[in-house]
Amino acid sequence: MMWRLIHLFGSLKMAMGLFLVIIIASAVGTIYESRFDAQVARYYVYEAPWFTLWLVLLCVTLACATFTRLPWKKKHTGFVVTHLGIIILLIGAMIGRHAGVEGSITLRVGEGPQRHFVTQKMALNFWGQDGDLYLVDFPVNLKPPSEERPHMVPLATEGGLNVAGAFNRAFASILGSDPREPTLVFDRYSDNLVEEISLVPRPGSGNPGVKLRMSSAMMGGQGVEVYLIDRPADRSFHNMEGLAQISLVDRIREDESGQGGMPLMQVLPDGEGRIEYAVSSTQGETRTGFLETGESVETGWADWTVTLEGAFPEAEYRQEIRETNGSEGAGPMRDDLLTGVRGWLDLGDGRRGEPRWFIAGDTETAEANGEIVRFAFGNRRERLPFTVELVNFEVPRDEGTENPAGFISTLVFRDPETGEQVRDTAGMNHPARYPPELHRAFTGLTYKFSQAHWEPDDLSLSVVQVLRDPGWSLKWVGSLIIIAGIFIIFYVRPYRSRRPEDALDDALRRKTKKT
Amino acid sequence: MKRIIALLLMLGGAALTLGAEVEEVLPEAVEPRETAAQPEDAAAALRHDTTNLEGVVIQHGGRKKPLLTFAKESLLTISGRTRLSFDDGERIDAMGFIASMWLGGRNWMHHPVVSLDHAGVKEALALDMEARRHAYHDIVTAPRFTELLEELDARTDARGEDELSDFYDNFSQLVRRLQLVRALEHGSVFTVVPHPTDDNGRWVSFSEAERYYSEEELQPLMRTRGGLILAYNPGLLPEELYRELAGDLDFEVAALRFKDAQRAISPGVMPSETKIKTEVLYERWNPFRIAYLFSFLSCLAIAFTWTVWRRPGLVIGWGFAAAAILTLAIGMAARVYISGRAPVTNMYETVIWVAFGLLVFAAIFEFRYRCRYYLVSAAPFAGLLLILAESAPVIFDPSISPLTPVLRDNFWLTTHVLTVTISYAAFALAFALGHFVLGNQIIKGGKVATNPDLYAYIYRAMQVGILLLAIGVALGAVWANYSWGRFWDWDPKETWSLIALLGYLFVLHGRLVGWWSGFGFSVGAVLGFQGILMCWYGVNFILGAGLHSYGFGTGGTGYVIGFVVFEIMFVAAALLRRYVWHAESGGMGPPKVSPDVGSADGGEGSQAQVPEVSRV
Repeated sequence: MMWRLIHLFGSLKMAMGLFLVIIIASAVGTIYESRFDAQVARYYVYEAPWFTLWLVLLCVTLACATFTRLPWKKKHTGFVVTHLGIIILLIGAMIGRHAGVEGSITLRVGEGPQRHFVTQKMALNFWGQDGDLYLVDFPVNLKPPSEERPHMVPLATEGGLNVAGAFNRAFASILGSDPREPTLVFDRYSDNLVEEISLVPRPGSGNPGVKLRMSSAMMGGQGVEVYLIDRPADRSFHNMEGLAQISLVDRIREDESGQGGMPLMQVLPDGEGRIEYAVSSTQGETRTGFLETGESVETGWADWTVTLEGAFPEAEYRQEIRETNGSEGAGPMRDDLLTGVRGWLDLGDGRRGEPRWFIAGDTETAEANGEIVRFAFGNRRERLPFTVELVNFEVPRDEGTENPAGFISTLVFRDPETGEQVRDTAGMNHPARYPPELHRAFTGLTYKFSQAHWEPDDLSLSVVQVLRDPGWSLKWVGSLIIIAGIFIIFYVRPYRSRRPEDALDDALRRKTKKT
Repeated sequence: MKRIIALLLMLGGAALTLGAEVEEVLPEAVEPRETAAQPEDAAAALRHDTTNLEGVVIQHGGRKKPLLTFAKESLLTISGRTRLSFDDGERIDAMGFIASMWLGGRNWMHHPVVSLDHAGVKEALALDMEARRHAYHDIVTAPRFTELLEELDARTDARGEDELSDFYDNFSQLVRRLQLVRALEHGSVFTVVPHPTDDNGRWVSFSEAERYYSEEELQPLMRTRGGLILAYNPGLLPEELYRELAGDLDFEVAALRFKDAQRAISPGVMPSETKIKTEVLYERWNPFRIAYLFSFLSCLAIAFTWTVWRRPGLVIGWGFAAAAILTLAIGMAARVYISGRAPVTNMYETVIWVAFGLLVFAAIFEFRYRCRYYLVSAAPFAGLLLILAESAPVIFDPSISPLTPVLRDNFWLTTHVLTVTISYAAFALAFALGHFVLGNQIIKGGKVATNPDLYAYIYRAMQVGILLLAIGVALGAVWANYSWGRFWDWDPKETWSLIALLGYLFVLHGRLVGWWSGFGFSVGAVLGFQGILMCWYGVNFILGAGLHSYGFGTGGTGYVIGFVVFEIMFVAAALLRRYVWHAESGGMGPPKVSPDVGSADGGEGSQAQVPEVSRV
C-alpha cells in the first residue's frame, strides 16, 4: 500500500501535472505583478498557501521518484543527484520563508541608534474589553476589502486566543453574513487619502467661527485659508509661519501684540456676518475697522491682504478624510497622501456605527451607540536583537551629471549586552552584515543590510533593507547540486541512462576509429 | 601667416571676453554676408572633411566620448537616424550635422530634421501629415504649440511623467528633441572644455570656460577654436584676406590643432588616446553591420552544398562564418574596452551577444558532427538578429551609457548575465533546427521520414541551453542573495527564466513518459523558445515590471507578437499536416508515438524500443 502510494507520487505523470500548474501559475503571477504590484502577486500566487502546498507536493513527488529507483545503480547517479538538489533547495526555501526575517529601516544621519524595523505585513492592535492589547494580522494592503467582501476583525477576546472569532470571521467573509459579536468591519482600503479641514456653520454648537483668506501678490497662488473657532483653544489663533498671528477674541484690546511680540490681527465676529478687526504692524501702528463677508483689507504686513469668507455665530470645525482619484493632482508629486481603511464598529446585535475613514499609524476610535473601541493599524514593526545607527551616507555621481553612481551607507552596529560596536558599510551589491562572524553567516544567523531607497533631496536619509535568511546555505548547496546533476545527466556517460542521441556519438566514434 | 595668427588671437580673445558661443565669435560686420551667400557657403561648409574632428573629446551622458559618438547619438535622438537625406537629394552624416551646429555652417532651425511620427501630435500642430521630419521653427511656431506645452507641464506636475497619455507622451518626447536642437544651436551641450583637476568633474562649454581657467590658460584652446571656426566658414573672412590666406585655412589641420590644444589644457583628466581612437573606429565601421553580411553569405554558401558545389561551398561557408564570428568578437571587444564592462547590459547588446553565441555554438557542433544543419540554420538567424538590432536604434539603443548602480559589480554581472543570455543562443539554435523538421513536415505531410539525426542535433543544442540557463539562473539567485540578501523573490525576470527552464524540462520529460518522440520534441524546441522570448524581451518590453528595470523599453511589441503568432501557426500547420491533412495522401493514420528509449531515470518507458538510428 505504502509502496503503491510512493509509486503513484513518484510517477512522471504526476510530476508533469505539478510542473504544468507551476508554470501556468507563475506566468499568471507575473501578469498580476505587472498589473498591480509585487505584493499582490505574492499574496495571491507565490506566497499563497496553495502554491506552497504545490511546491511541497513537488518535493514529495521528487523524493518518491528517487525512492522508486531503489536500489540505485550507477546509471541513476545523475538522476538522484539532480532530484536531491531540488529537494535541498526547496527545503532551504521553506526554512527561509518561515524562519527568515525581512523588512526595512529608515535611518537618518545623527538620529542615533535604531532598534526596530518595519515589515511589509500590516497588523492591527486593539484594546480589548479586558484592557489587554491584542494584535491581529491585517492584510488589507494585499487583499483590499470591498463592500461585497469586507474585512472583519472580531473583538471577542475571552481566553486570549480568539478561536471562535477567527472561525466566525472565516465564515462571515465567505457568506457575507452579519457578525454575531462586536466586530470591526472594513470595506475599503486606500493609499490615496487626503485630510481636509473646513469650517461649517452649525447652529447649536455655541462656538463662533471665522473663515479668512490671506493672499499676497508676491507669494502668488490662491493664498491661505485660515479657520478660527472659539473652541478648541488651539484653533482660536493662527500663526503665519512665525511672522504674524491672527487671533479670535471676545473683545478687541488695544496695544496687544502676538506671541513673542509678533504683529497681531484681532478678529471679533459680531454675530451678523461681520467682523470687527484690529491689526498691529511691526511699527506699532494699529488699524481697526469692520469687514463684511467678501470684503478685503490690507493688513500692512508686506503686501498681504485679508478677505472675510465667512463669519458664523455658531460653527463647527470639521476634519474630513477624502479619497482622491488620479485626476485631481494626486500623484507622485504629492507627499501628503495618507493610507487608511473605511469601516465601522458593528456591535453584533444589529447596532452599528457610521462608516468613516481610519488612518494608518494613528490611534483611532470607532464608536457605535456609545460603545467604543480603540485600535491602531499599520505596517508591523519588529525588533532587532541589536541596534543600528547610520553615521554617514554618500552618493557618488556619474561624471558631469547628477545620476547616482552608487550608494554608501556607513552603519554602526552595537550589541546591547556587551556594548561591542562594529562598523560596516552597505554599498550597492555589497551589503553590511551583523553579526559578522563567519560561522554565524553560514548558519544564517547574520542580518544583512542593503540599500533600498534614498531621497535625492535629503541626503541624510537612507532606507536600508533588513534580511535574515537561515536557509541560504541550503539554497546555495542545492543549486550547486542541481547543476552538477544536470551536467551528469547530460554528459557523464556511465552515470546516466542511455538515450537515443547516444547513437549519434557512437556512430561518430566508430567512424573515427575506422579512419 | 602673421596676420592670421593675429586675427585668430583677436577672435579667441573676443570669444573669451564675451564668454560667448559661435555667433559672438564672428565679427558682426560679416554677418550679412553669411546670410546673403548662405546657400553656397553652407553647402561648402558641409563639404568639409570632418574626419579629424571625430576624435575631439566631449563629456556627455556621464562619460567622456569622441565627438563622433556624440554626433551619432544626438542626430539619432533628434531625427531617429544617424544620417539625413533631404528632398533635394542632399545627404549629410551625423558629423557633418554636428560640426555645422557647433561651428555655425547652417541655420538648422528651418530644416526638417526633427522626427515626429505620431499622427495626433502632427495634426494638433497642423504639420504636414506626410512628412516624417519637421523643422524646429515650424513646430515651435505652430498655433497650438504653447498651449500644448503648458498642458504637458500641468499634466506632468499633476501625475508625473509615467502617467502621460499616448498623445502627451509623444509630445513630451518631441519637446525633448526640440530642447536638444535648441541646446545644440545654443552651444551649451558642447562640453569640450575639460575639468582642470577632477577626473569625475563636470566639463563645460566655451561660454563657461572661465569658471575653470584664466585667460592665459585658455588662450591656446581659444585660438585653435577660432582657427577651426574660420577654416570651417571661409566665407566669413573679407574676400581679399581669404584669398591671401587660402592656403592656411585648412580645416583638417585646424581640427588636429584643436584636439592637441584640448589634450594639453588638462592632460590629467583626458581619456587615453587609444581609447578615443578605438571608439572612433568602432563608431565609424560598426563591425556588427559587417557581421550580418558575413552571416548571410555563410548560410548561402552552405545551402548550395546540398545541390552543387559541395567542397568549395563548405570552405566558403566556413570562411564567412569564421569572419562573422571574428567581426562580432572584435566589435564586442571594442565595446568592452570602451565601456569597461561586459557587453550585455541592454537589449541591443544582448541581441548581438546571442547572435554571436548562435554562431559559436553552431560552429562547435558543426565541427563535431559535420552535418551542415547547424551552420545553415544558425547563420541566417544570427544575421536576422543583427539586422534587427542595427535597424531599430530607437528600440535597441546602441549607445554606451553608465550602468545603474545595481549593475555595477562586474564579476556577478559578467557571470550571471553572460551565462543566461548565452543559453538563449543555444535555445535559439534548437529553435532554428526545429524548423527543418517542421518545414519538412509541412511540405511532405503524413508520417514523414525525417532524418532522426536531426532530432539528436536539436537535443544536443537544447542540452547546452538547459545546462547554461540553469547555471545562469542559479548564479542570478546567488548574486541576489549576496547583494540584497534574498535568494529568490519571484521577480518577473526570475520567474520567466524559471518558466522557460521548466518548459524545456517539460519537453524533455514528456519524451520520457512517452507523450511524444522526435517530432513532438522538435515542436517543443520551437514552442519552448517562445518562453525564452517572453523572458528576454517580454518582461522588459511588455510587462515592464520588476527589478531588472535597467533594460526596460518600449517599441517593437507588434513585431514580436507577430513573430510569436507566426511561429504558433507554423507549428499548428505542421501538426495538422502530420495528423489531419495527410489522410488522402498516405492514408496510414496518425503515426504511433513511441517513447524513444530507456529514460534518463531508467524507470519510465522500460517497454520502449530503441528506434533504429542511422545516418541517412
